[in-house]
Amino acid sequence: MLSFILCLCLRATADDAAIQTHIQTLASRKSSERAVALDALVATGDARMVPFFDAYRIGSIYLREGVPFIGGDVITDNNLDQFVSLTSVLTGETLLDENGEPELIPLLELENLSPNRKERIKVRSVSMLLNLSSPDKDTRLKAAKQAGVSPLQTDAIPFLTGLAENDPSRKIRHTAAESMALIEFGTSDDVDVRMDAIRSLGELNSLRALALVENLLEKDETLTPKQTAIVTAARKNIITHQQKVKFFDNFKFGLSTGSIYILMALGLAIIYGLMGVINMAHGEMMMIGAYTTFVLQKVFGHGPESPQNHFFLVALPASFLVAALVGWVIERLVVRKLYHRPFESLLATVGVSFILIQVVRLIFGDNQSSNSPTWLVGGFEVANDMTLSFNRVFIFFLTMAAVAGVMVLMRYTTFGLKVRATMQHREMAASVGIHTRRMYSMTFMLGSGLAGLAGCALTTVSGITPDMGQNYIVDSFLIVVIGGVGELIGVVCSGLGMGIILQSLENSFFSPVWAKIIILTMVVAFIQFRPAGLFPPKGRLADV
Amino acid sequence: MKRKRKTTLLAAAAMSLLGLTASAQETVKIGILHSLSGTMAISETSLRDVVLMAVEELNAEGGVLGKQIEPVVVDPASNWPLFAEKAKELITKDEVAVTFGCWTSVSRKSALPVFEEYNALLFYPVQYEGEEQSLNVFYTGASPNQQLVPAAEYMIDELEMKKFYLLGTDYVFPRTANKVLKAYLLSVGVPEENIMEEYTPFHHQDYQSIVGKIKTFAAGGDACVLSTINGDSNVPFYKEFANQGLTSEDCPIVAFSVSEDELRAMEVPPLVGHLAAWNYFQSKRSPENIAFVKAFKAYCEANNLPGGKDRVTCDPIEAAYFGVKVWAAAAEEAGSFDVDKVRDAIYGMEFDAPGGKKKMHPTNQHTYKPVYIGEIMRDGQFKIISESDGLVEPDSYSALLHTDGNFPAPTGGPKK
Amino acid sequence: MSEFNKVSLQRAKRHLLIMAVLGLGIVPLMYFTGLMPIETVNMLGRYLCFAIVAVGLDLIWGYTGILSMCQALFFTVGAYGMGMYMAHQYPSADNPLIPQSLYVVYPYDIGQGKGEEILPWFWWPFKYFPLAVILSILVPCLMAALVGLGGFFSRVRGVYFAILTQAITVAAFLFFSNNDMFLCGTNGLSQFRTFLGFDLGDDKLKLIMYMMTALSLLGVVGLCQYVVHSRFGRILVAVRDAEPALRFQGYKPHHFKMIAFAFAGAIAGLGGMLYTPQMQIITPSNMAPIESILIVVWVAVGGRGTLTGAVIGALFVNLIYSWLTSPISIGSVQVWSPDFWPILLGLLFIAVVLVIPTGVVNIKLPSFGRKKEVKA
Repeated sequence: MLSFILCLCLRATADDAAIQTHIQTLASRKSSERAVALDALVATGDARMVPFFDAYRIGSIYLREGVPFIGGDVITDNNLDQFVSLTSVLTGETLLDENGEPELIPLLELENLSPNRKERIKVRSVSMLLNLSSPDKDTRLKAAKQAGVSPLQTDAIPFLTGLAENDPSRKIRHTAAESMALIEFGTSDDVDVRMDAIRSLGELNSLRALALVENLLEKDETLTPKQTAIVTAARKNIITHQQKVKFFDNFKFGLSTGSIYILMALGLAIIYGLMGVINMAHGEMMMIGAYTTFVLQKVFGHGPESPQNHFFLVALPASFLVAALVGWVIERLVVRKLYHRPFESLLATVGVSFILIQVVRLIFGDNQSSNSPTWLVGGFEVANDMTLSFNRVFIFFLTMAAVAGVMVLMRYTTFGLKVRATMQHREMAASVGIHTRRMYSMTFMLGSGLAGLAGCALTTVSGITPDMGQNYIVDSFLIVVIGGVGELIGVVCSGLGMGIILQSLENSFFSPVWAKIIILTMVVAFIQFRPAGLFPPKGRLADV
Repeated sequence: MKRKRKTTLLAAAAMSLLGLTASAQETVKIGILHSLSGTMAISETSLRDVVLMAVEELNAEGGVLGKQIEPVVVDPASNWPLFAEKAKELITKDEVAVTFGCWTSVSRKSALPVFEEYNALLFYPVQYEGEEQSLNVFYTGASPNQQLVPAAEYMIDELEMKKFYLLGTDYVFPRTANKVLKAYLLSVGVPEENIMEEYTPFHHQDYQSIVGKIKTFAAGGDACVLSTINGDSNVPFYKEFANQGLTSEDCPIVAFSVSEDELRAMEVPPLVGHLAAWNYFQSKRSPENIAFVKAFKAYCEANNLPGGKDRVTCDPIEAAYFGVKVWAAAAEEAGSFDVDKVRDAIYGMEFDAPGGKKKMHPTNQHTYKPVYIGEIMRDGQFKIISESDGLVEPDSYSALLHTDGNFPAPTGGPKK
Repeated sequence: MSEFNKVSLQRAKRHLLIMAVLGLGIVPLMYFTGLMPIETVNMLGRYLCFAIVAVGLDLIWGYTGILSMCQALFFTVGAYGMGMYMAHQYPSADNPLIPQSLYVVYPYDIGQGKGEEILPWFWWPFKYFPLAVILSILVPCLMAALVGLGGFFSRVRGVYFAILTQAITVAAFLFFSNNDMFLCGTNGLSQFRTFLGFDLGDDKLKLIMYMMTALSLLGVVGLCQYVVHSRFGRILVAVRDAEPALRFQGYKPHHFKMIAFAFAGAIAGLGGMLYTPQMQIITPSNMAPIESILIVVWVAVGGRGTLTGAVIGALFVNLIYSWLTSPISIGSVQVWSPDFWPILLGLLFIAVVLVIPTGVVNIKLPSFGRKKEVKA
């Protein structure tokens, strides 16, 4: 009775108390009570409900002595006690400690509200509706996309119409129109409306509708010939567009794979082509570059929570230098005595690779994570369904820069001239005053450094493990051999060619295993016809 | 032969490399058969660490049957035949009472004939494809019905998924797992054309095309990926998935081989919301588990293991850990290290594991375990979003694959 | 016959005799007197199989100058041949036509269910022991001939040939690992029960297999020694040292190369065939790219172009590998942890190349005094 009176008295400050009560009810064990409370919360239409629903959906609402709060990320300390920072649902204020930092509240003192599946879906559709008019572009886009996914709601149509016509972002206009058509098709009983929806889905090249359209053609026997024509036309539209997308993808995937191949093979081509050393530890040079990047990431304290993106700018040259340095040591201790003795160098560098892998494993252990700088995460859309990932674009340009750099170095600098002279005729070069030993040493460092650079770049697309180099070494040798050791351009051609063919095979109806087998068979056949590669070496090197 | 002399030479060379461990008391030897080098070291070194920790704990409590445990750590080097060779060496040369080891199916298959030949005992701590029941092995990991099917069930019942992309590394666990999953999905009425199956070779690094295919597959919504991708392929796969703009909202990935330990190697924020099915998560809130996690972190830090206190526990680590405890308890109960007696003592044994109460099956060598579905959180841990009612009985042979109820007899066992 | 050839032949005979005494005399003697457990005999048996492959590689690399990265492939194919025979000995209980090993990973076609498994055609011949033996040697031999036909006739040489063979090996590795190929995928052939009526755990079988392997090795070494000292062998060496000159004299080097290569392939198949009953499992990992490289390493460590060196190298590297991957204790003090084996083994490889480039065999017997070192 008392509480009832209290309630009446507080009616004036109205909503806050009501909202709080409803939220408290959400902690109830009875799902019927919870459902009523949730409906009531939806009905308030209060702006504060947007962050509330978002947090509720992912289970981040906490009650502290009955007062609802939105929790931040759960933090676990060294004692495995868990804490969370709290922001009031009603006032939007974060609880602060005496230093003005967000106060960390032990999780044990709080009651957590976790929705079940049904509630999550309900909340998701509500926050979707609210988010359709969000000022944030990404939130709007996400909501517009979600609108087209079940449960479909006709309530969303007016919002979507607005977005489809007036939104400044082309992507959002497109997605909103698509979702609108999907909703109309999915909910309307009027055949004409549905056919219109299909027609516009076709015009939008909507991939999301493809399964729907095909299903309709296969299963629905009530279609009149005219309707069938509409559906077929829509399907054709979508598929034609998808073929374009696929072509684009093949090319894009291929270029990306190819550029990784080239970056790996470039150093190998220099070391083998110019020095006749089969460097089986080349993959490990790459691994060292990757671990250098990892160490710098730790030193700079870069992580997903506190991005220190400039670490990568340091890591690029550092990975080159560290790998070059390790290369120098190896050259000094091992490779120096093995120039133009490919078989012996193979044996010794296998030993080097064993050692490097295990040393790194003993120092760093496995399962270390490399975090790319945030500006290499994600991608941009060039056209509908055609996206470019930043990391792939980055690697492509890095590779091109590396190739151009090496070419310029070899062709237009004194260093390049000396190196070429040494490689062509060592004694003659020595007799005109070239320090041939140093030339060899620097060439090996250059090759190793390039592998290190590749390792740094690779951290943006794959993980780092001590034996990561082993995954690339065989392919790299194939690229060098197909290219022919005479010209670096051979490496570029064979790398890109292999990348594009491999990805096109994989992207059609071959599984990755078969794509790989086919490409290897092609390599074998190719070597039969051009035993010395695309650009065979000329002159003295020809008989290596 | 020349063997002795060389050993001594090598030993002398190695002296300077290592600290010395000596023990004077009477001991019982146990074998640890996990790869410390090669491709599987990424997963298996953690199991070696936790087994050693369990041994240390047991020894601190006075050992087993009054004897200190002396672990013999060998390195089968991710080389399958070497698993058999090392198993043989442990059993015949070191005369170990029990062996803890193996990760991949093929390593277990390689070592299995050895354990059966000498009637020795192996504790195998990893979730696997089932279809095996040897009296010489105790399987402390999940059988398919304790991991795969509950996850698929959850995706259908709770998340109302309609399309399934079964993606795995091409070896026997994913193959059999997908066979079981497919049989299950078909049995609950998912049409064949809504199930895709794809395999990649071991160490596959380039997932561009596959993610592209998934993107197309999932465009219509209500699609998920059931992933049995193994080891180092996971990192490039998840990275590519995020970079092509897919999130857990578009198409959740349910992984059967990605645990907290694997997540250490990944950039987690883009993965938030993806799922995994296991029988244990580090985030399980119970005093026993918190003590276990703390002990493991402290152990790694105290022994200067790579990662130190940042190391995490996961399902196979828990399974490897309680395997040691189960064996010790069984030996105490049997009053002997004799394999046949210990085996009998293990059957039906109930015990407290870090993740809660568990039970050994009374006949089929496997373990009763709870099933959890977890969602990846920003800190690389899993939030448990679904939990089975109590413990799930393990199947050694899947009922979905042996619909006639005709199960093969167990292999191995005491010598006739 | 030249003076050098005579000395060399004498030495070869002496080596063969030492090997025979050690392999067929000392080892069984130690076993019967209880000095050597049967497990060690079994282990030596397996390493002798590796030695057989190594001898084959030495013939083509040491004497003919062809670096092949295919030998592990031929070895594994031979091993699969015998493995398929052994798999047939343990048919599945559900479908007696299908070996259990294949049954558990049987890749069903669409619409195919339990009980509808079909034994693939290439499994049939391996039901019969003599056929299995012949095919285990013949198939690798023909494969090698084919590789040789493609490679040598289009004059692929040196490093290019090595890379070519590596590409073939990788392709084959992926092919064998693919579960749809009815070759049991990455799990390979396992779950064997009996061999020629023996239980696989039987000590007698292990000893017999060891003796068989030792005899085969001696036979192979003897045969290779005969070959390299024959006119054919002189031509092989000429191919290695001066192929253009040889061609100029009207010889067709590629014919000789192909024959030698096919012969080495058959030898590798023989080694593999003997390996399976002793290992009881054979998987595609045996033909992973690194395995072929390791065979080259064995030969290089032992000493290239000596045949004896190949045997010593294979045994030496494998025994070291086996010891280093286990802890070593003196008394109760552990002095070696297996964590470090790759480092020590790697150092060994480097040391061999830099310090004793002609291989272990040449430091073992310094008093014999080489007249002419094999060109390293």
